[in-house]
Amino acid sequence: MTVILVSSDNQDFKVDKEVAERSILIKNMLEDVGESDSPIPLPNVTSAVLTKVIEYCEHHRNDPVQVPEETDDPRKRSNDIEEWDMKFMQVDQEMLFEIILAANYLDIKPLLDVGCKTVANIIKGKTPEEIRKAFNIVNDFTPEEEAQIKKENEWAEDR
Amino acid sequence: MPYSSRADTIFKCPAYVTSFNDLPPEVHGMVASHLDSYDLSHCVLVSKSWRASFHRYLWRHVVIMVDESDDFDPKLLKLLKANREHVHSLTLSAGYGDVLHSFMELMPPSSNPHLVFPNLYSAEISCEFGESTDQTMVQFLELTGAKWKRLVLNDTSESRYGIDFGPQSMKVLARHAEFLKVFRWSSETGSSDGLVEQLLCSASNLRELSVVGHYRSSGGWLDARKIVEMEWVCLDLEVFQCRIRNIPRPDITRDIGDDPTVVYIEEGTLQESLDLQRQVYTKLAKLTKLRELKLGLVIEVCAPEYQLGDKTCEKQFDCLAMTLDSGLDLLKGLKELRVVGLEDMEVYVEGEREQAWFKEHWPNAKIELGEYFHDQYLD
Repeated sequence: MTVILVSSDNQDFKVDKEVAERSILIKNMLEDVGESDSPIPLPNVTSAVLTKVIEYCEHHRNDPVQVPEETDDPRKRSNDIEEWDMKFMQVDQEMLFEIILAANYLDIKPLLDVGCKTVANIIKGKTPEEIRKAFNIVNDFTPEEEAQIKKENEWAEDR
Repeated sequence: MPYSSRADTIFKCPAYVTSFNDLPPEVHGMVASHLDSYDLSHCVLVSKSWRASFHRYLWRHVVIMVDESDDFDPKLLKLLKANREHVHSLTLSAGYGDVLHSFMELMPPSSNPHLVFPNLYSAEISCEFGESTDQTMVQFLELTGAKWKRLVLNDTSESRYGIDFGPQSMKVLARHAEFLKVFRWSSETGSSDGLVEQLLCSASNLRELSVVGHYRSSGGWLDARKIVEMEWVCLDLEVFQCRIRNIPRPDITRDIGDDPTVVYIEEGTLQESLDLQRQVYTKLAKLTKLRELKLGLVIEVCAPEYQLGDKTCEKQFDCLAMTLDSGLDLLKGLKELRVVGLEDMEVYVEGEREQAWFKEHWPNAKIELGEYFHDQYLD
């Protein structure tokens, strides 16, 4: 069984129901309307982004539904990303953020997670200035403000 | 016409580009959850909007490490209090001194202590020398309005002074029992009598229990006969680390110490010994999610001798034998086991039947049989 997804720029995407249902939003929609072949509009997702999202869902169509084990131990959190996902996430930054926004909107938890890990990995180990460069951000602190914040956070600088 | 550098950057971006700031706050939080304090302390320096996004996460997991407990910076504790609602976990560590006592001294009294850290649920306290009383621990546990999920107490004092976790502290913790997931307490000086029993019978969501105490203390181990009487509720335990004692072992006939006599540890017949062991195995068999079962001694700093009347020996003799004859087969349902720690226990698991049994039923488990070399520490 297939369903038709319509992107914000009015392109139709025909995908297997099983693939589309990786999105909890779509899964719930399909459950609400029951048997129907009317297209599902996704006004928040462009065709370029939807193409990527479908690629991800196709690849992970048979993944077991994962129960994310909440961990209370900060050191236990892992930033490991499996190889396919890592390659999949090698996109420009705008696309990376668009994928994250789409995964959030469509409620695809594992994709959202991989997206957030990718962003975190960009940040890791960088100085504030390097982070600014990486994300094209302007420093809007005065030197005094910067010094003050630095002082307050001294405890976190040791590792 | 002069124009500012800000305007310049805006002109350079003709089309709207999705950026980090467009992500909703909850997604910022998810990114932050993959970063440690060090990286977060850099994030808050990036820009005002980044600071607004990340400040709360920087203070979520606070680690304060000092060489000596009276080195606590009062300014830092003031900041900690100012950010108190962000704090979810707190690690206090001092190389020497009573970290808990010093911390509580500097925490100004509050009319409603529960509100000092309304969201704190995890704490890790490490010190080498402590004189805190049960009451100090009670005060600490009552600083939060949240429910304790994780408590880690590391006390490496070699003296009898340590972190005291007594009946009053247990009473407070019991109110959190159904939320508690990790309770880890290693202490040279042991732990309160009956504490382990209380947790096993009340903390239904406990995933890790590890209590390592000194052999001479009244706690830090479980009495086999009490185990039999208790109803365990923590059936989701994944890590169980605690010695089980007071099992008669008339099967042991080897010499102890320099005294070449047969010893009977804990008076009892062979039949009584086997019956008791079977009942203990039956209890342990209920913990089908166990990944680590550590019944041996694991204090690495200074392994103690065991006192048996007036004799001194280097092994635990009143433990489970872990043999098929004693009922090991009852544990075959523990399929998730990865580590079985039997260090310093008088066990006969090297028999062919046992070896074959391990291979068949616990193929992924590593059986640790190490012995500690006491002499080098005793001199």
